[in-house]
Amino acid sequence: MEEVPFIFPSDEHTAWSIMIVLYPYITGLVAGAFVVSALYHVFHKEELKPVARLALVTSFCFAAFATVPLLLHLHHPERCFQVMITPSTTSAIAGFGFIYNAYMLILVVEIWLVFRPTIAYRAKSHDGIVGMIYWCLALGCTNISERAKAVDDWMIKALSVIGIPVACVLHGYVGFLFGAVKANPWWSTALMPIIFLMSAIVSGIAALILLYLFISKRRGVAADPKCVASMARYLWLFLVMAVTLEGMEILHMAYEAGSEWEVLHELITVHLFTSYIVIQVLIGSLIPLLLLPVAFLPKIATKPKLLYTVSGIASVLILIQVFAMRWNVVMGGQMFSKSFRGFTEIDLHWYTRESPYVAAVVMVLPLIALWVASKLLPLWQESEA
Amino acid sequence: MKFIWETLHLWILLTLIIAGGVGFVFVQQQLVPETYGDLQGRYGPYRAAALDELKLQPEGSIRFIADNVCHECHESVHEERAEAKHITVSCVHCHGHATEHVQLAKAAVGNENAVIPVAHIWDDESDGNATMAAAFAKHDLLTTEHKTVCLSCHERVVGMPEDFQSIITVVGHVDNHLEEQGADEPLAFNTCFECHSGHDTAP
Repeated sequence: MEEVPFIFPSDEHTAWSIMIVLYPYITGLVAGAFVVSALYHVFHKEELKPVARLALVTSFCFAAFATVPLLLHLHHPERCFQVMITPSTTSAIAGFGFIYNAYMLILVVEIWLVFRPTIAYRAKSHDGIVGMIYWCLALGCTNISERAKAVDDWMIKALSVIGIPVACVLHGYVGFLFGAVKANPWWSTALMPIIFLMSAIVSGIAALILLYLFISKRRGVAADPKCVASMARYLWLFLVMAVTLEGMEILHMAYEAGSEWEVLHELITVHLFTSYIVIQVLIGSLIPLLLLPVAFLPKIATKPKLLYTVSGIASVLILIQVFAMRWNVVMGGQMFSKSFRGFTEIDLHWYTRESPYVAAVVMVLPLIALWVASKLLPLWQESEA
Repeated sequence: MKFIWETLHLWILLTLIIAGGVGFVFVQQQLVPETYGDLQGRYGPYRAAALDELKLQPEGSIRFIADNVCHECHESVHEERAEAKHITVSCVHCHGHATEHVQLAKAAVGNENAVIPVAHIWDDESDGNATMAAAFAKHDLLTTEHKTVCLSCHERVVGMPEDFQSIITVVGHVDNHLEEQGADEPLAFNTCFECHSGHDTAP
C-alpha cells in the first residue's frame, strides 16, 4: 500500500521563528569571541594581542542582546523574570538565567579590570560630567599603581580561566536544549552541545576577523598580518572540528538507517537542499576549508593583501555557514511531522515582530553597542589614554 | 594594610557584587507568591491558587468555556451525553469557543425580551470551501454534521491506541467503512450522521 503523507495537527505550524535561529547564533558569537580573548589572556598567544580587547567587548555587546530574540518570540515577555524568581530545578531553560548571568558577571568584571587603567586615568584627567562618569565607572577608586595593576592582571587571568568553561556551558547548554528533545530525531543527539559549541567558536573567530579588518580599514591603520594569520589558522582548525562533527552526526544517522532516517533523508535532500547541501556544506564549509590553509603558508605575513582577502571571504562564508546551520537545525526540526510521514512549510511571519526584518535589526544592535563602546573605551592598545 | 589599599577597588567591587546578590535574593523572596507549590510540592511548582485568581478576571477576558457552563442551559444535552462515549469531548471541540454566546446568555438571565443569536450552521455548502479551522476561527458558535469534524478525531493516524474507534482513510475519504456499513449517501458531507449522532454516538 502506498504511503500517504500525513502530519499531526500540532506539527502543521512552525512555532519557532527566525528569532529562535538568531538566539543560538548570537550566543555563539558571544562564546566564540570570548575564546579568542582567552587565547591571549590565558594561553599567552601574544599575536592575538591586537584583538584581545575587541574580542572581550564584542563578546559583551553580543551577550547584552542575546536575550532580545527570545523576548521578541515570547507572547508574554514580561514573564521572563519568572525563570529566575521561581526556577524549576528540572527545567533546562531555568538554568539559562543563572548561566547567562554568571557569564555576564564574569565578562563585565573582566572588561572593567582590562579597561580600569584608562577609566582611572580619565577620571582624574577629565572634569565635569565626563569626569564624573569615569569616576563612577572607576567605583571611586583611581589607584593604578604597579602593584594594583599586577593584582588586576592576575584577576583578569583568573576570570579568563573561569570564563572559558562558563562560556562553553553557556553555548553548550543551547545545544543541550535541542539535543534533549527526544521526540525529534533531527535534534536528539548527545553530540548537539559539542556541535553547537564548535560552530560557536568558529562564528566568533570569523566575526572578529571581519570586525578587525573592517575597523582597521575605517581607522586607516593596517591590520596586523600576524594577528589575522593566527586567527585564520585557529578558524581553520575549529572549522575542521565543527564540520567533522556535523558530518559525522549525519553519517552516523545514515549508516544506522533507523526508522527516522527515511524522513530525515528526504528532509536533507529535498526540503533543506539549498540551505543545507548548497549553503551550509558546499559554500559555507568546503570553500573556507580550501581557502583558509593559505594562512599556513610560510611567508604569508609578507603578503597581507592575499591574507586579508582570503580570511575576509572565508569569514563571510563561515558566518553564513553557521547561520545556515542554526537555520537548518531549528527550522529543519520543525519541518517534518512526528508521524514521520509528512512535511510542513516554514512560515517566516513577515509582518510580525518575529519577521526577518526585525531579525536584521536585532543583529545590528550589538554592532551599534560596539560602536558606542569604542567611543567610551579604547579598544586598541596604542590609544590607551 | 598596604595590600588592602592597593586592592581597594576589588574590595569595593566585591561589596557591590555581594550587595547585588543579597538584593536579588531579597527581591526574589518578595516576588515568589505565597501559594507557590501550594499542593505540598506534590505537583512541583504548580500553583493551584492561580485558578482562583483566573476566576476573578473580568468577564470579557474569558477564553475557554467549560462544559458545565453550557449544561446550565442545555440540560437535555447533558443528559444525552451522560452515558455516551463523547462525555470526554468538550462542547467547544465541536461547537466553537462560544464566548460571545455565553456572555449574551448570562446577560439575558431574567430578561424575557433578550435575543440570543442562533448558532451558525456550518458545512461546505453554506461556507464554500472554508476549512474547519477557518470556520471555527470565524464563528463564535456553530453546529455541524460535517464528517471533517468527526474525522479530526477518528481518522486513523500513526500511534493511535488500538482500541480507539478509528477509521482508515484514503486522503480524507472513508470509503471502506461506509461500504462495510452500507451507507445510503457515502459522498454526503453528513454521511456519519446516517448512523451516529454527535452527543450520543451509539452504535
